[in-house]
Amino acid sequence: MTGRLLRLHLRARGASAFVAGVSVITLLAWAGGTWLAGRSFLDGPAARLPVVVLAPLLAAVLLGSTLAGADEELERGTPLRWPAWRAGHVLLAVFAVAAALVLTGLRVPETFGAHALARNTFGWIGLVAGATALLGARLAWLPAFGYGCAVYFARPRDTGVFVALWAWPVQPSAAAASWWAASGVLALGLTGYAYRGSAVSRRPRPSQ
Amino acid sequence: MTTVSVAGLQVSYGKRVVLDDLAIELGVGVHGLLGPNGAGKTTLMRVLATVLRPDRGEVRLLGRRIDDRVGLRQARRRLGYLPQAFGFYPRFTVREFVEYFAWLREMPAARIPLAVDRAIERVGLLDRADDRMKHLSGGMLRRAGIAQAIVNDPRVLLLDEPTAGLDPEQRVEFRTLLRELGCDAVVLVSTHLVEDVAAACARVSLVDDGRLVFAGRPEELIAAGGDGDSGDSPIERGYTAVLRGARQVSR
Repeated sequence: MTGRLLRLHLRARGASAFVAGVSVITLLAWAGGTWLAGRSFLDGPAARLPVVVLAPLLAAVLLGSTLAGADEELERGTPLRWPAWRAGHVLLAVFAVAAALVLTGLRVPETFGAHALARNTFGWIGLVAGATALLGARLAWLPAFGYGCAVYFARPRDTGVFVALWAWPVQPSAAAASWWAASGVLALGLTGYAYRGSAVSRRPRPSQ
Repeated sequence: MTTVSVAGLQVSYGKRVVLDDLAIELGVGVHGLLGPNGAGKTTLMRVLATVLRPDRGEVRLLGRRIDDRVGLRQARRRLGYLPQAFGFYPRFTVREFVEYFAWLREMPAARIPLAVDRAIERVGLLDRADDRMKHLSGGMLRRAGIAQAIVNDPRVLLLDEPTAGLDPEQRVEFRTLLRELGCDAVVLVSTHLVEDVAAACARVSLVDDGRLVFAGRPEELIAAGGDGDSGDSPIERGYTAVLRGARQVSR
């Protein structure tokens, strides 16, 4: 592997647009989180739930567009060790997004702060990566977005193990089961995407 | 010497069988792949390009089975493929696009700059090498696609409708390039343009309804046609005669 291949690959996958998008999301998360935590009529740091759910979700949706090449079929017919590249791609994104978002919630990291932002980054990116393997990069945002909306509006108050497992994005960071669920989703999504890549139709594309 | 060998190949899309017990052997040289729409030409190309796994059958490229992981990687290094319609990176220059595929095919780093320039020159795009892909015409995009397919000097080159969008002068130049490439590689060209086959191919295979119905030299295909067969050229008449004969037998 050389730096030149890496640079071309990052450009091919729209890395600069992704970094710019994540920077904007980070700034908005910081501003939104600070504003929500500072309102006397809200729950203090616990009021940051919308930021904790939405910011990593948007970053994961942005990542989805980078998970396929312009011509998946043409590229996967090459001998490059694609599973390793794909895994590296997702892990690098997890690290970058989590690092950026965690910074925005460090002042009060508990409940819905830095810790929950890191957990949700794992979960949402895992979900988008898994959906890419099953549905293709173009539709990968759909399951995460739909699940995110459903779980946010359901917002169970209970923090029991079963609830924490299915409603991990809206659980306080102290709920251990929510970490297991988010990490499990990341492991599954990462493995599925690394081995399958972005889903490609078995049928040939229509000609130009 | 046979370097592409396919036996008992079957591919289905859902319940529809697209390739049915197809067998084909290809050696060094330019081979034309003809057939009506939906005959299975593109599916065969995708199987040989190692991007579509067949339901059944054995495929050997350069003497190696491609269901073996090591053999697959080795075959892919010596494979060039141009799909019928390909996606590209609009902001890449032609040189970057071709270079990217040289890297993906794991060419030795030291060989890449020269190989990229040579591939671009061979398709006549050297003066546009630093133009972004989004600024190219349809014919130029096609030539950039051919350049990425030949950048690694493939031993097996698969071109699916390579002349679509090329003007007559470019097609003549392309046939010359094909003959050059066919001197030391297996070149399989899927096309509807039978005159390209007559002009550039040493052998021709005709696929209909997922089965190989003819394999031979272009002259043999021409000889199969008669005055009563439809077509404007001898090879078109041969093509329609072989197809008609194959369909009568299958009924």
